[in-house]
Amino acid sequence: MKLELNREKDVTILCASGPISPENLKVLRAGINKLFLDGKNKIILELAEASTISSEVLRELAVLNLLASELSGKIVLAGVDPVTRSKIENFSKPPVVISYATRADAVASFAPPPPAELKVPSPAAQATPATPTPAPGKTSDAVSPEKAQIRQREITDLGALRKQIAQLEAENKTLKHNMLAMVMERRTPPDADSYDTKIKALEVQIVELLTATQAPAAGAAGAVKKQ
Amino acid sequence: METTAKEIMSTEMLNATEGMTIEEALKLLINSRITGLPVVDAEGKMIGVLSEYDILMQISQAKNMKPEVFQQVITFSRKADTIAENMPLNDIVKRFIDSKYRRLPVVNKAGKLIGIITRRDLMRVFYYRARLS
Repeated sequence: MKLELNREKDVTILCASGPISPENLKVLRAGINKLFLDGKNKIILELAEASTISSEVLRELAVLNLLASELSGKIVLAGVDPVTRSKIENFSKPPVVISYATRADAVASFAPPPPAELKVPSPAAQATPATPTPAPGKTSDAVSPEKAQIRQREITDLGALRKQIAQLEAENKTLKHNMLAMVMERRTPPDADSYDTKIKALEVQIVELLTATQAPAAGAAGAVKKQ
Repeated sequence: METTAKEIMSTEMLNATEGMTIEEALKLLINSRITGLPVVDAEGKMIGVLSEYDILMQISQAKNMKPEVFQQVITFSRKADTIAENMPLNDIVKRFIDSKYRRLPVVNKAGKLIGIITRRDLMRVFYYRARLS
């Protein structure tokens, strides 16, 4: 396998000629690693002569692409025939590596977003009176789509939370009722009336005992007096 | 084979030209979010460096801030540190440490600006050397 190096717009283009056999894969890997060691991680791999790309090669490319992406780079393929591109796209979801029909498309995929231009206000815009700013706490009429989305999500989440609170309160009520029932069941006797009855019975018992203890003492004292 | 400046450098770079106005330089620096630019002549040969400081200094020396001030041609520093395209990595690192610059232009034997190396480029090199060693 022969490797040829080109550069376009700060992207490195590695043109590999020949099929991708296991032996050639080693050469390819060494070539890409050399680029990494030189700090180049935005790589286009042109495999124009590769009629097929095996799963092993795709897995290897996946690993190398991951290495490139660790520092915001990537490896893409270019010049691959449609059949092979389809195979790559179906190998995994999402694809392990993106492939483009042409080099130009591949180079364009590395282009950063255009910078925001300094906007000088036009005289017409300056002539119109300034709209009053909304009072603090009041939302502006022009809400961005992102804010509207966030607000909608908050409303949905709030509804779900309220529902959850209602369910938990109902469960709490049931648990309290059950606990009270268990306590009442364990009590002996179970209620106040029964306690009153029991206390009265005990009082009667006490009176009887006292009467019983005092009666012999009174009889003994009477016997002593008579003597 | 030892890594040289030519292999590390970025060729996608911005530069100012000798006849550029302050307004043009302001726009370029702001939109590109950079603090300095190499200055080249009509043949692409590097002749100096323009920094934000140079622009501020030039504007501050004007009597007023009327639009005409910003149509003046930029003044820049003619003294510029550069890196030769065949300079090896170790020497490049040493140059960055000694000069404390954040970026250095790369020139060929004819003095033509061919690329730029930043500290970020060097850190990328080091990262992959750490990962692949």
